[in-house]
Amino acid sequence: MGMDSLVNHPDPNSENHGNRNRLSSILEGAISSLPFKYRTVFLLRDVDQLSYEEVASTLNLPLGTVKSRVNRERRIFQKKLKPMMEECYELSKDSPLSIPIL
Amino acid sequence: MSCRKIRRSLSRYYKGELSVKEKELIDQHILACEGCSREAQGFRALNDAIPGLDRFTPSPAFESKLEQKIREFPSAEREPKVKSLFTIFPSLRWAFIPVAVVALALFLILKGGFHKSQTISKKPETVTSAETSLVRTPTKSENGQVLTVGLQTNRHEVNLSPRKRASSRAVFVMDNLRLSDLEKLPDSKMPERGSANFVIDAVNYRPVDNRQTNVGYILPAVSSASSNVRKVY
Repeated sequence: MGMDSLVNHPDPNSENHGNRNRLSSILEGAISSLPFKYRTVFLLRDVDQLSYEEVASTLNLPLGTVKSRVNRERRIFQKKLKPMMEECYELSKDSPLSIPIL
Repeated sequence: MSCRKIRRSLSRYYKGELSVKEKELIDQHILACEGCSREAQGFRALNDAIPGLDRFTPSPAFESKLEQKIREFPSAEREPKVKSLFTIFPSLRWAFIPVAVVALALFLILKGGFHKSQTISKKPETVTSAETSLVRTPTKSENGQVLTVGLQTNRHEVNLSPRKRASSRAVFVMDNLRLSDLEKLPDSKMPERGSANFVIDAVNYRPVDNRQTNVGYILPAVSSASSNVRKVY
């Protein structure tokens, strides 16, 4: 996110579409395994891209609580995804997403 | 920066939450470190897949089911999970009264006397039964991807202690609603792209146990397969 300009939208018939599906599946697995309170902030902050202030307002939580939950959520998320990172890298190599990061 | 620190910062890196200096450090490290470069690329691929996540499609009856579920919820939560002793032995209820009175008197005396205690005690707020209504509020985020639905409910007939009142706001989050479902909602604005969360904000809800915090309630999730209510958390 924030990288839209670098991402080409894949042809649904291509192999890239399969890669994208696999990535989505990995992502969904990680999201659904997040505890509820962290999934909530993930959905609002990372999927819907609300600002921290908006998340705090939506959930009626103090800003500091939201920030710490987001921080914790990302750690949990990354930990859950760690075993799949190599696969994600391989999937990204053959897709339009594999434009060098830098 | 160590590899560990770099990898822990990747999320913030892709969200653009790092300072220019931190970003430069990561850029330099990734150029030089193959392991971190691979992880960063994999992570970015996942990050970029977020907007393409499949969304569950609720059934046409979703709204009515949701509304019904909301209406049922407060009464359901008042149901005792375990039968009390009084239910099994109703006569105990009467035996309990003098015991409770004595215990209360002892408590008040120990707290410094009747008069003082009565002066400082706060009467718990009794919220009486009333109509519950869903209030649909148009999107509130910049890109218009979140729909907040306020559930105005005063249906509780329970006494809320001052402490409970402070935390008596609960939020229901229904995730995985497809964008097109917003069209059905009367006052909503259609977001230009992306997906939508369905955040149901319920005020004056009383958390029923420690497990449920401010955001501790969740309404039924909607399955993609059957489009029916799947489970209640």
